[in-house]
Amino acid sequence: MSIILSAAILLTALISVLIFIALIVFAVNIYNSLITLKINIERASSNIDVLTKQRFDEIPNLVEVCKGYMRHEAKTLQEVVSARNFFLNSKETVQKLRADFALDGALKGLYAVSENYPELKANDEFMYLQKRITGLENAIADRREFYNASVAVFNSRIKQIPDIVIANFLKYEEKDMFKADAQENRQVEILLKQ
Amino acid sequence: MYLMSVFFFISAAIIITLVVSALGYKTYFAFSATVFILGAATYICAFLKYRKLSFIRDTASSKIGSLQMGFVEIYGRAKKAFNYSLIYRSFVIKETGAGSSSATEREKININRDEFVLNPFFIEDETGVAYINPDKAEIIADNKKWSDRDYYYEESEIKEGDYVYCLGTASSGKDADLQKEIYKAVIAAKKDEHFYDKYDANGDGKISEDEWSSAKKRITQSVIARHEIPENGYVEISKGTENGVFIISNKSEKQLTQKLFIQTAAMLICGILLTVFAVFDALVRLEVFPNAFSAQYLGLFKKINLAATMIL
Repeated sequence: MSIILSAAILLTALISVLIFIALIVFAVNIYNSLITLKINIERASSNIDVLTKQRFDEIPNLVEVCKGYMRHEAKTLQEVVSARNFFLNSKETVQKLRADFALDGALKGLYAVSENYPELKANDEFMYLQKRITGLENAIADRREFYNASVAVFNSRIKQIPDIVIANFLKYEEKDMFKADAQENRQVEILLKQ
Repeated sequence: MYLMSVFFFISAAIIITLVVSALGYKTYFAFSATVFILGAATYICAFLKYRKLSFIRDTASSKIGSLQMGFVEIYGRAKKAFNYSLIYRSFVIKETGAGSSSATEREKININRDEFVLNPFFIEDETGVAYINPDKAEIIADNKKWSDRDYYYEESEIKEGDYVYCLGTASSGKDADLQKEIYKAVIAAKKDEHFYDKYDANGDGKISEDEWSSAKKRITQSVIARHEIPENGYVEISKGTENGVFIISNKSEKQLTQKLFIQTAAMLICGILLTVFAVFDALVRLEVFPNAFSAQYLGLFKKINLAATMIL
């Protein structure tokens, strides 16, 4: 009987060791994939900044083209320049986001006013810049969607079993998605009035 | 991680075999060692499937118009590239062995009728077009299988218009076959009888360097317009060096993840059962268990062995 018991204990011990090793490997996999998800979010955020910077870099060219035609629209042009300067002076992500919103509003105003200047609208360089900036805005919107999708994947993974165990060990918390809210829009109005 | 797993299991299998060989049980432990290695290999395959599942599940889908460089996932309609007639087609015919065809006919049909075609193609969504270079891609397409009296057929294909899922590495500004198409168009233009009418701007009967440069530009633009290539070239998706994963499929992401999850679970369970059984078999042969039990097990093992030998 004692021999049977010893054999059973030995077998159980061996199986336990194998299962323990399998669990360790599994846990390491989960850890690695959570790290990958976190890096994906950082990468998505940086890639939005790349396009945002390109968009802001086109602004001086646009203002220069418009100046020649819109001599009496100094205020409209100044709003666009202010938004760009605010972006260049921003260090934090929240501030850059506000500058981006401010530029959205200023550009809408500029395009609306340009309707009164058919010669400007027919200018090749103006048309090219408008198309380029609009293309960049569409690409930025798509990348923000991608950023939100990456955040959604991360947030749902850190709440699921068994990933929640590793996530709690790493002290991972839910990340915020990109969204425009009323608070941001009010900030934009204040900025344009400065 | 996976190399470590492979190293661990193979080392363990070798050590077990060497130790018990030294104890004089060499022949008997061949079975245990083989089952152990098989179990380890299955276990490792399970983790490779899980790794692929993780990549599919953890990568968010991108829009082609704003694709970032690096590892990406896209979904859109397949479009044939340039003059390729097919995107992907795999057709296999195997003889089933039955039937009353003559030896001569059978010999004729045994000539290779298998077909495999895989060409570069485009994937298009509402924001843009991406060029897919399918070299070294893993193609997962719906399989149609059927058979008749003599033959077994297996066909899978990705057609133009199919919704295609692609997981790979994006890089920018690829010209790919565009240069070939431009070259062909230039050759065709030179043979055109109206060549001088079209490109001799000053009407002097000669094509100067500037006129030729302008002609090539017009030909390039017409090729680009004909094939609807974006102004700055297009993003190419291919197999990258980052993680080696490159999947093209006409199944949806959900179908792929479900299939991979089932495969992973099945392989993991089989792997664990095989390694546990191998350890159990080794312990029996080491006479760790009581004699009566070991004798019964080994007796059953011999009967199975004998039956297998008679069948084979």
